Amino acid sequence: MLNPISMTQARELDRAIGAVDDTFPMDEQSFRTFYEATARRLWSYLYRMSGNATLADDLLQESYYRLLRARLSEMSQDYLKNYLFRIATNLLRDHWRRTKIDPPAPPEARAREPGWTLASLSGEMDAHADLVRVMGDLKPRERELLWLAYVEGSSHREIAQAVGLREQSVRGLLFRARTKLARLLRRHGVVSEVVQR
Amino acid sequence: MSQARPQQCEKEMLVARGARTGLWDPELEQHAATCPACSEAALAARMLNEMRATDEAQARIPDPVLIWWEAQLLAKRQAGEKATQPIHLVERFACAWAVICAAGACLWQWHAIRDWLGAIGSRGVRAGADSLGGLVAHFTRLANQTTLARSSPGWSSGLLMAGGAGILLLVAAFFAVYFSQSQE
Repeated sequence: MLNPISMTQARELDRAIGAVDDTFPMDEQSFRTFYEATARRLWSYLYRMSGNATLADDLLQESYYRLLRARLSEMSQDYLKNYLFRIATNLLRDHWRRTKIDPPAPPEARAREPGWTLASLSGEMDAHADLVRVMGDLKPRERELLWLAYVEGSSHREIAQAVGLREQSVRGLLFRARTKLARLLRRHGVVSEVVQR
Repeated sequence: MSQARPQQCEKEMLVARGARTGLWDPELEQHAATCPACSEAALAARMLNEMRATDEAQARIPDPVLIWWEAQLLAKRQAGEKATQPIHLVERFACAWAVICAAGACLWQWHAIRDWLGAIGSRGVRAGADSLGGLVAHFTRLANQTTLARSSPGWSSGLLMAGGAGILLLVAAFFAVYFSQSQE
């Protein structure tokens, strides 16, 4: 049932709702183009960081809602994408803080698409499952850093903004995370060789 | 064989981009094959992008139109809530103020109320209902008095005036807050 409202309330509502359309940083067509270019990538990031497909679905939608309501200083695609991943990273952190649980390991291996394979993988059969196990041995922040750097191609400055660290710290942490990843890959036997001097 | 500890390399991010996109500069590819840091970077990029490719093929993302309209609905609802917030605040303040006034009146004229309650207790509800008219008349008489000071002892007039001024200040402060919120 609708609550009756006074004329004053109606006028206030009309003014506020009229202002909403002006607050979105992009029009529908621009949003659609941007969404189609980024949604699957963002879902993959959220899924690998949270280990939960349903949570990834929810956070994906919430990330775009927040992006649409944000007051942005810039409208370039790169800026928007980085801002989106920053929102998603913060939402993940908020979720873990709210639920007071530790971030889970990445999801278990699923059926793997046939086709392209890693050149340096030792075996085709269990490679994907091994990769998932390796990712599970990394800390959430290490996973975030590696993903943003090596999947999204974000610069150190962009990563620093996304995860809330200083740029210099990102450089060191990323180096350590990558070294740890390579060590884990060797330990799990996923990779047969990494170039040695 | 001792394993070299990879150092950071300035070409790492370029190598990672090559591994990610498959677009290699021959010179860079040659470098990646011999540099431990770049080799690790290329490996990390390939591995993680393999995962991303698998996920992207399986992801079921909602239609952008749905996201767009839901975002609009959410924004409008929040704007509406924000716009009516000061009005609801005033309503709550008015209700609280009415309760305080009623409680104050009851305390002030407790002797009359007590007599009325006593009438109900001793002579029944019917008699209580009859004497309710008397109670109402009592309050009406009080309301018709021109000044509060006439019904109060002289020493309390100053106290009443100070209290009244305090209440006026409180109401003025409240409306100042209300109007500042309305402007926002």
